[in-house]
Amino acid sequence: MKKSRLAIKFIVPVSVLIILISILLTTLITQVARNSLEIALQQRVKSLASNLVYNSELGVLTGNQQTLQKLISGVLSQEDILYVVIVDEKDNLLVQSEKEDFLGVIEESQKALTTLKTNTNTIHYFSLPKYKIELYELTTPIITIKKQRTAEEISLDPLLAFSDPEEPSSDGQEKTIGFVKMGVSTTNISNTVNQFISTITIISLISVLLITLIVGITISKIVILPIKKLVYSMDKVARGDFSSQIKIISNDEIGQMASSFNSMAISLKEAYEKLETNITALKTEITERERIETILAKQKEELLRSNSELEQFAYVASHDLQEPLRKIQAFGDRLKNKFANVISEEGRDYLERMQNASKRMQTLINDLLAFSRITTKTQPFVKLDLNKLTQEVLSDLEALVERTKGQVEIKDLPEIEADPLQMRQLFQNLINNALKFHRKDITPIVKIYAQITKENNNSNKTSFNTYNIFVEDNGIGFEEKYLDRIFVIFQRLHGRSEYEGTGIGLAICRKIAERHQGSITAKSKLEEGTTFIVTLPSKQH
Amino acid sequence: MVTKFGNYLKYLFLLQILLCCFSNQTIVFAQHKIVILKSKNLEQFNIAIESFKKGLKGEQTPAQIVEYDISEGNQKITERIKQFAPDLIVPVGSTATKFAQEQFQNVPIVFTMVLYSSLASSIGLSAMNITGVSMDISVLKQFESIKDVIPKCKKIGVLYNPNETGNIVEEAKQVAQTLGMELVAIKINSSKDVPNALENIERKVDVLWAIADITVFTSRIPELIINYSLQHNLPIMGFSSTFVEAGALFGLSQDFADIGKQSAEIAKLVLSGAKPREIRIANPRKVSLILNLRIAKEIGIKVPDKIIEKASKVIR
Repeated sequence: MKKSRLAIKFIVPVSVLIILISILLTTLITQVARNSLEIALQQRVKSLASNLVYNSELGVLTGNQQTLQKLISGVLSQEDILYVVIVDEKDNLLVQSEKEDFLGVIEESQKALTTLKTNTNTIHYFSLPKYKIELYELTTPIITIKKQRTAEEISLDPLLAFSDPEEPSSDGQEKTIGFVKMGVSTTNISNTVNQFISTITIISLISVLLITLIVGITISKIVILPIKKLVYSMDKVARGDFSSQIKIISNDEIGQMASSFNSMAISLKEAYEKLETNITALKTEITERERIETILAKQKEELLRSNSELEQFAYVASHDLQEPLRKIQAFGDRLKNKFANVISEEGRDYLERMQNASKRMQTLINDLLAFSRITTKTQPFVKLDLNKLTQEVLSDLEALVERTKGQVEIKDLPEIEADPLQMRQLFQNLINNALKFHRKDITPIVKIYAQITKENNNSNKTSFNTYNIFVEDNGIGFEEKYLDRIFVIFQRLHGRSEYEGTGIGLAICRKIAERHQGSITAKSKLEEGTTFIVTLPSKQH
Repeated sequence: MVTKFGNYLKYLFLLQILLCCFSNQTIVFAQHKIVILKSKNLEQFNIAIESFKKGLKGEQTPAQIVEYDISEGNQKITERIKQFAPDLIVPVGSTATKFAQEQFQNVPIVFTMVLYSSLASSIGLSAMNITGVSMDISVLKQFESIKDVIPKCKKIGVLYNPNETGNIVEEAKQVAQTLGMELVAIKINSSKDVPNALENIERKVDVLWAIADITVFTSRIPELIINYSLQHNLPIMGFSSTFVEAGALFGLSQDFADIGKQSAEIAKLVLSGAKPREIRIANPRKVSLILNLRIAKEIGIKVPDKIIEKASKVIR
């Protein structure tokens, strides 16, 4: 279909042009042919008429109708002559004859030309619809020369025709003795011209067909075939077969197009190959990652399991460790109370130490139990006013505040959803630390304040804000490179003798923050102070 | 007759020449004034005129000759001629002869190239001052030639207008009888009668004798007659060389140069004092037979060989 469309674009204008030229030429040639045919016919008819006039002169002169009849029947045998009429000078009929196929044509013609007076050499065109013919009547006068000649002139030259043809009327008088009227049909000319037109029409149609064929073949050879090849190859390329190359040997635009296409195909092929290599590499990588992810997931699961086992273990251990420890303490107290007199100084010292160690162990176990309880013994999240909560924590720590003479400022804390006990513990630990790790001779100043970090104003129920709650002190600080270590359980930056504690507090804080979908971090400078930043969402879900 | 008369004149001439030598009056004699009056500028007329002039030059004393053509329609011709005061007028052809005879009754006239038989009917034959050479070939000579060419001929046909050529036909009837033949004459009043007349005569005659009748031989009627003759195998005796060439079987023709010469001889006689009325009007001396054997073959006539030999011109 594409082929024929392109070909039609070329063929239609060419065909239209040929047809137009043919019509123009036909019209011109037809006109010329018609004219020349008419002229030829008129000349023939005129010469016939002049012969007839010459020959009928005698007949008219002598009134010999027989001779005249013979003459006109001779003329009538000529093609295109429909009728011949000879009249005398007063328009009285001498003889007449008409073609057998057109009987009555004289009568019709004379009716048609009735108004015309016969007097000179004339041609009248008219048509007779009755016979379906176009014709004209040629009227030629019959002229005789009346000579006054003497007898001896006659005797010297009896035949004028032989004596002086150059000047036939030099000594005679011309006299019109009659007229020859000839009806001449022009229908043959029309037929010939029509035949001519149909011949030319056929010729131009054939040439249009031929040219259509030639142009079509040429176009399909020169243009369409290469384009088809190109389209075929493009299709192949589109389907991913880059091996296709077009063999077009020509220097025209199509040749250039073909070579451009060929180089394009080569570039595409190269690019595609590169791409494939990359894809293969990527696939390999993805597979590898998937494998690793699987491993990681397994490890995570194991980790979670071992974590929960550990927590379970810690809870169980710390819970179950309390019973023997209480017995050690109870029996240590009894021993001290009942046998104080019996035991030597040295013995009492040992007993004291033993009791101290069991106390510390009691603290350790309590802390450890608290740590494990964060995930095992939980309370539901409720709305908490952190201002109120921190005030309560402060009143709990009243003794420590007094002892350290510290100042605690609480400023506009938000209301959040949280586990009240855990939240209390978190702030207790942080404020405790802030007061505990004060520099010598410097009154600890603790500032507690909050900032909204992320505002979420979605109208749906899940909309919540996220707050940063800062607990800032002017204590001893630490080097930030140890930041990772301070939140790890049992990790301490200072000796037990300098600052008391078990090294579990910050680990508990982190665990609580994480359980509330938050986090905890710190900024610090040695000998300047530390700021703990707890990030918590306003709502839990 | 003419020759005898000529010889007599010769003596008379010689006598006068002798007289002139002695009287010293040669100039008057030498300065004879002659007017040649042409009816028409015809080739045959010109031949005769040239021959006439040559004939005059034979004399020691040339004449003063002036030539006029009356067909040119010059109305002052008469005046001029009168001023010129010619000793002799030589009209050529019947129109000029008639003109001269009417205008110059006191000047001797020697005509030439006149068909006398037709002229005779229109002018007075007995005019005092006129003589000349006619073109007429005698009917006898003509009929004899018919007998020569067509030996079996018994009946001769002729078409004529009694008003024009009635006298000739009357004479010819008698001549035919003397030669043992019969003349069938059909009267024609106008050229329109010719076709019917031909139809009438065709079965009755052996030959159609053509005479220069102006009613019959008008416009293209000669063609008609010739065509008719060829169609019906009717031989024609024509009256001129051109007629025979155009289709007549045979004809007798005058020698125009000889007619001129003959006229010059008569002119000399008149100039030397002879009275024109005393000189008989002469007929052509030389007559030649012209044969058209092609026509003979066409219409199926066998012309005797000795006649063919005798003919001065044979168209084959």
